Amino acid sequence: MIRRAHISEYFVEGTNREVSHVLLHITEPSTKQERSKGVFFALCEVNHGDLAYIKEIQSMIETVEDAFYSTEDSFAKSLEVGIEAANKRSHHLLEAPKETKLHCFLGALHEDQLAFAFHGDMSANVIYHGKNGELKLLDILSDDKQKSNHVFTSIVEGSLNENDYLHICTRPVARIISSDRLPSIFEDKNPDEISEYIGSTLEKTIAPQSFGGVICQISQFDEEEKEEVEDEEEEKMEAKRPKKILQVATKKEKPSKTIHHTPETNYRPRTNTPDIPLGRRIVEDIGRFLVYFFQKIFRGIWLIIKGSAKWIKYFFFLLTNKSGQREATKSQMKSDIKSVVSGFTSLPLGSKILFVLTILFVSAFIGSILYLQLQENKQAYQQVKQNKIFAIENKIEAAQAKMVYDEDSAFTLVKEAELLSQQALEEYGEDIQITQHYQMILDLLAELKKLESTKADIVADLSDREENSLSSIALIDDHILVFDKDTPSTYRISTLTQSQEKIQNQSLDNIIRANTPKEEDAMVLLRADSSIGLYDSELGSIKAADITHASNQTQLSDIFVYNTRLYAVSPNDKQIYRYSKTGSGYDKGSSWLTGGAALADGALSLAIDGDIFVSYTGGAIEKFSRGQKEAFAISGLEPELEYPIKIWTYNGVKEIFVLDPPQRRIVLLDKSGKLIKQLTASNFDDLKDMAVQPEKKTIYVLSGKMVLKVGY
Amino acid sequence: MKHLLIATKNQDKLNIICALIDKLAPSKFIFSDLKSAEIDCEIEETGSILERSEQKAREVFGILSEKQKQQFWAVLGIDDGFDLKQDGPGDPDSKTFAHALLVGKAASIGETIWIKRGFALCNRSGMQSIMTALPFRYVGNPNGVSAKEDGYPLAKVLTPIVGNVLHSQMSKTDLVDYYEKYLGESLSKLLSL
Repeated sequence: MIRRAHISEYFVEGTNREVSHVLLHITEPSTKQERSKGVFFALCEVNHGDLAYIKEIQSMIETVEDAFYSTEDSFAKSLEVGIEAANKRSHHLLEAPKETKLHCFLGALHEDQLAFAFHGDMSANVIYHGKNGELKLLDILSDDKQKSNHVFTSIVEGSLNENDYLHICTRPVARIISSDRLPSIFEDKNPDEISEYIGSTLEKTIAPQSFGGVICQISQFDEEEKEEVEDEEEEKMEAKRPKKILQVATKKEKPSKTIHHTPETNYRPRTNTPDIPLGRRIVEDIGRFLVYFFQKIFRGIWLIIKGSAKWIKYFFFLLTNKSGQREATKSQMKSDIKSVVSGFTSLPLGSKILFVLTILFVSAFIGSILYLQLQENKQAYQQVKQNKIFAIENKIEAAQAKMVYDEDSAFTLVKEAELLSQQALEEYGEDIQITQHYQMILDLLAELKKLESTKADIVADLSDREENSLSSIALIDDHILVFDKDTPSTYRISTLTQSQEKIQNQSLDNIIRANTPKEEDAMVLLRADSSIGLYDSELGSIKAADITHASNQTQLSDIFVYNTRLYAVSPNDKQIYRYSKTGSGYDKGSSWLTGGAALADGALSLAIDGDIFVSYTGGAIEKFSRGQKEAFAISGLEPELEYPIKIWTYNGVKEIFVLDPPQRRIVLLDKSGKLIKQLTASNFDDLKDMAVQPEKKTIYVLSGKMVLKVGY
Repeated sequence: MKHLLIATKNQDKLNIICALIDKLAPSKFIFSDLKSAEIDCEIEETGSILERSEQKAREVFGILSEKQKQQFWAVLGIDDGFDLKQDGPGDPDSKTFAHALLVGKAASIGETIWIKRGFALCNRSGMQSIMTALPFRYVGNPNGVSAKEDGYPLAKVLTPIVGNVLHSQMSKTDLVDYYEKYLGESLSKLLSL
């Protein structure tokens, strides 16, 4: 003999499904494996739930059922697995609107063993036989108050004695059929009879609520009878599934009128899952997963937005104290924080771990995205940088290729490379590669600029002399004469011995320029008032000389003796005057520029080699030939001339020498204006005048109160 | 970039050859001449134009220090001469020919003068040389240009075969284009461009 549950149910539909909706779900095992688990049943009542909510409940019941029959654990453990699965997946059911209520009882019976879990307000009683054979009542839910955050309570296990009853019903049933009536109703009846009785009683009640209940009783069966049934069912397993389902359904004879086959009643025998192709199952599972996943994502985003808005509101009130809500906001914030903390601490350990893992996963996910984005940006940044470096390298290479034969192009390219490098250095800081290129560019520029830096030798140091306005120098007979423009003081320095002597000047002061012709027979001195003097090298003395200017406007800034004639530049009337030598000096000057030719503004100095070169304050140099201006352009000079205070050349001399004090340099050009070289020296300072000795390839420079010399 | 040492002290010749090579292979070569490489040597010139260009390349390469041999990819020797025929051997005595031409004894007005130019490339791999011919038309010397003038006096009495612009008045771009037309292919082959 074996024990087996006899199970019956009743259901009466109410007048308003929206108020109350009852789901009745009983599954009888059909295979050997399922029989080892026993009967699964569920009774649920939903108040004010919509169709989607009811479908969720149905789905939840199926989840428990699938887990119950598919796991290989023991009967009670299998139900526990199913309940846990339902708790995990159905947490959102608890977040339904307030008016929606769920009451549910899920249970399983195997032989005399009972296991169940429940949610909400259900009624479950065991009606058992007392010592004297009378029926007694035991409310099996009275001690289990639901406190969990989950849908279902933990599993309750117990046993049901032979011929005892288990009656589970929705609360409305319990209100109509009170528990004290149950023993008399159950007296000497089998579950089908009881179901019929209760069902007919409830049908007489016209109520908006639906009613539902399940009655179980443990009965004895013969082993042979059991085997017959099992063998018959095993054979059915071999047959085609639709036929088998039909057979099982046929075999199950349901108690008649109390069972209403309405959408609420899920009564059916246990059926096997139809053979769905693996591919379709995978696609369906993926689809379900994606729907579930995106639902969660959207819900998560929504919660984040909602939470952020709430916290922004909090901070707004904290900062502004609008309507005096700061204190209330503080209190609300504290409460929210406490609620979050307590919510977290009240979670089961597993959930805490899952929560933390989720946070870690999300953090890792977001971190990965940010990292990848950063990497991508970094790569793009590096690519742009590399392109700029390539552009600089290309310019450098092109410039190097042209340096020997096309300096102008090379110079342009190096300047472009310099600009690119400066921009790159500004943008990328002291990058090693760019810095190296920049240094290379500076070297190339120095090479192209032909800038030679040296230390000029000191010929005479007049620092201890009282004169503070030394303004010009001139060379004659291996001597340098140094003039002061505010006093008559003149110093004569030997270029050979570097000896200094102050010479008699006969009060000829304000000498601003001096020039010695190639013949070196006399030195002509120009005074600030455009009068002149002469230096006699044999006598070693200075005396005034005659000169007459063609115009009252004439104000000479520089003089140059060439072929015994004196040439002078007059910025005021933009003219070059030519004076012929007389016994006492020079005659009345005449304009050398002809045919309307005129100097530009700011003429400073002139030099003659047959043609005349004039330098200007802005840095320009003009060439005049036979009284007319000729094309002349400086090329290859960087930086350009700023204030070429003195220019010098001569017939037979290949170079034009230009003194440019602002850049502390002497520029050597060829006669076409092309740069030959630039000379600078660390002790070039406050440059005022120069005198060139081409036969010795030496330049003497008046630098402050010192006379220096450099070779070229 | 390959560093090419042009074995010449003639700045005009250097300018045009460097510009031509740079046009044939932009930014592939860095150039140095004897002056910038600080090489001071007198090379005895004997034989034909091609032989003279080879002598220059060989001798300059020979006096390079080991460091310079690593620095320079090759030495390019160049020698010029003139001929009245494209396939003639060319007269290597340029000065004599130039003088004769300037005084109107070497050719008549309108006659084609071929500048025969030998190029020799010498490096560790050995010596390679080519001969080229560049045509110009003699237009006479009405201004009495002297062979003693600075620069390249013949440029004032020669024009390209087509056109009447004097060699000395041609823009640098036009001059390089003209050289490329007649010398480009041979020079590219010599330099393995």
